[in-house]
Amino acid sequence: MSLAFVILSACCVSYGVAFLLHVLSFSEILKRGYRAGSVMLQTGFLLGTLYFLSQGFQSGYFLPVVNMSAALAFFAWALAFVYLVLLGKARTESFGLFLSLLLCGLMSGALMSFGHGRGIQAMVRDHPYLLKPTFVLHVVSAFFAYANFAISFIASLLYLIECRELKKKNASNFYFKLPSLERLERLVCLPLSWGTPLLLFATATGLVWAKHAFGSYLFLDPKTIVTFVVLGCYLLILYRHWVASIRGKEMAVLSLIAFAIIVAGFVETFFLFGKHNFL
Amino acid sequence: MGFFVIGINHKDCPVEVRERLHFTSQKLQDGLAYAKTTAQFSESMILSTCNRVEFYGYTDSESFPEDGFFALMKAVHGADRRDFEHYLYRHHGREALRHLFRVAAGLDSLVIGESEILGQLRNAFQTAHTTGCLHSLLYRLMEKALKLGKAARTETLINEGAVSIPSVAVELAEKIFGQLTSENVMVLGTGEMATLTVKNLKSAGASIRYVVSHDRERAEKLTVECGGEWVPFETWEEKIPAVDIFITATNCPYPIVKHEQIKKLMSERHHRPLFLIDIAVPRNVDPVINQLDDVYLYNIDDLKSVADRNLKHRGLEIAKAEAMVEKALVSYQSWLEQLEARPTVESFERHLDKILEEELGAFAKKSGVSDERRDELRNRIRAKLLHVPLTKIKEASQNGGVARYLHALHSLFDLGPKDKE
Repeated sequence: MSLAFVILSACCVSYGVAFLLHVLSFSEILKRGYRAGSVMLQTGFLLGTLYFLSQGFQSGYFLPVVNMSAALAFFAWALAFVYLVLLGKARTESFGLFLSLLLCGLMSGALMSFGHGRGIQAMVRDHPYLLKPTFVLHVVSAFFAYANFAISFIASLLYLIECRELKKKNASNFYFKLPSLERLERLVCLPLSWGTPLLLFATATGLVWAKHAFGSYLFLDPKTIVTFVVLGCYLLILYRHWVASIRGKEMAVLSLIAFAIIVAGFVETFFLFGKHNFL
Repeated sequence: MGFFVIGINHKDCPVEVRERLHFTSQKLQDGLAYAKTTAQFSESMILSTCNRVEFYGYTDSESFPEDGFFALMKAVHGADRRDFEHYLYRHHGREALRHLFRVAAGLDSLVIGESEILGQLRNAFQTAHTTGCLHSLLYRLMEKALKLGKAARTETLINEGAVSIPSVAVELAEKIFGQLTSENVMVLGTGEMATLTVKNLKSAGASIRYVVSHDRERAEKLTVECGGEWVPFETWEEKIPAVDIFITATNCPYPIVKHEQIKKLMSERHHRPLFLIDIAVPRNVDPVINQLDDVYLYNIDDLKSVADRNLKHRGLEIAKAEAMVEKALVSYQSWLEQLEARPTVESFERHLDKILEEELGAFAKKSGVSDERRDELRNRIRAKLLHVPLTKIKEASQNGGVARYLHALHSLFDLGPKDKE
C-alpha cells in the first residue's frame, strides 16, 4: 500500500467522520457535533493538501488531473478550500452537512479509481505539452471555478428549501438548523462572483494552451462549446445580479439552472463524446 | 432542618401581591441586613423578580423558620402574613435544593427555559454574598445552581425558539434578514400588540422608520420611544418601497394591503425580501400576497402556530433538563453528606491512630524494630483499615445513606458526641 493511498484514505475517513458528526448534530443526538465535524473537515482538507504536496515532491510536477482519481481528489480539495478558507466566516451547520457528504463521495470515488489510469511520469513523457504553465493555470482555475459553482449550487438548494419552509409556515426540524436567507444568499452570490471570472480565465488559458499544443483553439470541441454556454449563463446571472439588482429566489433558481447545465455538459462530454479529449 | 426555601411565584400568587412583596434594591439590602441579624437563619439569600419572591436559607433550628421570614416581610414591606400566607410554598432539605436547581434551569419559569432568571439569580447571589449573608454551604449551592442553569441552556434546547407573538416576529425576521442591523420597519396602527412587536424588533436591531396612524398623538408617543416618524394613514403607500418589515394592526374591516400593490412593489424592489406581519383581526393584508416570490406574510394565527410549535419543541427538552437537575442534586447532596461525615471520620481516624500508636509502640520497643519501620507499618495498617469504610461512606453519600454509617461508627467505636464535633 503506497503512502499516497494511505493519505488519501485518511482524508476520505476524515470527511466521512465529519459527515457523521454533522448528522449526529442535526439529529440532536450530539449537540454542537458540527463543531467537531468542522474540525474533521479541516483535517481532511489538510490531509488533501499533504497528498498533493507529496505527489508533487515525488514526481517533480504539479499535475492534479492526470487520471480520474487525482481529478476527483483535487476537485474535493478545491471545494474544501473555497468553503473553509474563502467562505470561512459564512460556514454553517447545514452547509457543512451537505458539503461533507459531497466531499466524502468525491474522495470515495478517488479511492476506488486509485491506481487506474496512467501515472504522472508516463503522461508527461507522452504529452510534454502538459507541463506548460498555461495548462496548469487552466486546470487549477477551472477546478476552482467549478468548486465555487458547486458551493453556490448547494447554497441555492438550501435557500429554496428555507423559502418553502417559510412560505408553508409549518416548518420541519430541518428549518431550525438552516441559516438565514440573507446568509444563504451571500453563499449563493459570493462564489458566483469568484467562479465566473475564474472560469473566464480558465477558458482563456485553455484556448491559448490548445493553440500552442495542437495548433488550434479547439472551438468545436464539445467541451469547449459547453464551457462557453456555461460561461454565458454565469455571466448573464452576474449581469442580472449586479446591473438589474436581481436577488432572492430568482438568483437561487438561476444558479441551480446554471449548475444543471454544467452537470449535463459534463455527462454529455464524458459519456457521449469521450473524456474531454484534449490530451 | 438544613436548607429551606419559602416564597411566592407566578403560578399561584396574583400580580398585585407579587408587586407588593417585590424587593427593590434598597429593600433587598434592608431584607438581607434583617436576615443577618435573625438567629434562625445561618445563611440567607433573597431572589426577587417580577414573577417570584423567594427566600433561600440554611437553618440549624429543628422547625421550619417561617416566623423569621414573616417578621422580615413585616419589617421590610409592612406586609401582614395573613395577606400572602396562603400563596406561599415551603420546601426544605432535598426539595428545597431541587426547587432552586429547577429555578436556575428555567424549569420553574413562566416561559420555560427563559434566560433572564439566571442573571437575576446571579445578582441575588452576588448581593447576598457582598452583604455577608452567604457562607460555605449556600455559597457552594449557588455556584452549583448557576453552573447547572448555564449547562441546561447550552446542553439542551429548552431556551430555543420564540414563544410569544412579538418574539416570533423577531425570530422570523432574523430567519429572513439574518442578524437585524438596519432593516426598515413600518407599522400600521399603534395597538398594544403592534407596539410590543415594534419594540421587540427595535431591540433586536431593526430600524423603526414609519409609524402610520390616524391618531397622531399615539403614533408620536411610539416614535419618541422607538424612533422613526409619524406618517398620515392616507400616505403609507408612498413609504413602502423603503420598507423591509411591514406590520399591519388596524381595525379596518377589509384588506388594506392588496396583491397588485405588492406585486408591483416587488419588481421595483428587485425582489429584495419583504416580511409582512399582519396581526390585525380581521386581516389587513390580502392572504394571496404570500404566493409572491420573496414575500413572507404571517398573520396572527401563523405567528401563534409558530409559537405553539416552539413551545412543544421546548417541552421535549424539559425531560433532559430535569435529568440534569436530578444529577446536580445527587452531586450536591453527596458533597454535603461527605462534609457532614468529616468530623466523625476524623474522630475515627484519631481513634485508630491512638490504638496503632500504643500497640505498635509497645511492639517496637519489645522487638527492637526501628522507628522508620514502625511508622511504615502503622501507615500501611491505617490505610488498609480505612479504605473500605471511607469508600462505603463515599458511596452512601450518593443516595443519602451516610447517617447510618456514621451512627454505626459512633456506636461501635464509642467516638464520643456525634454532632458539632
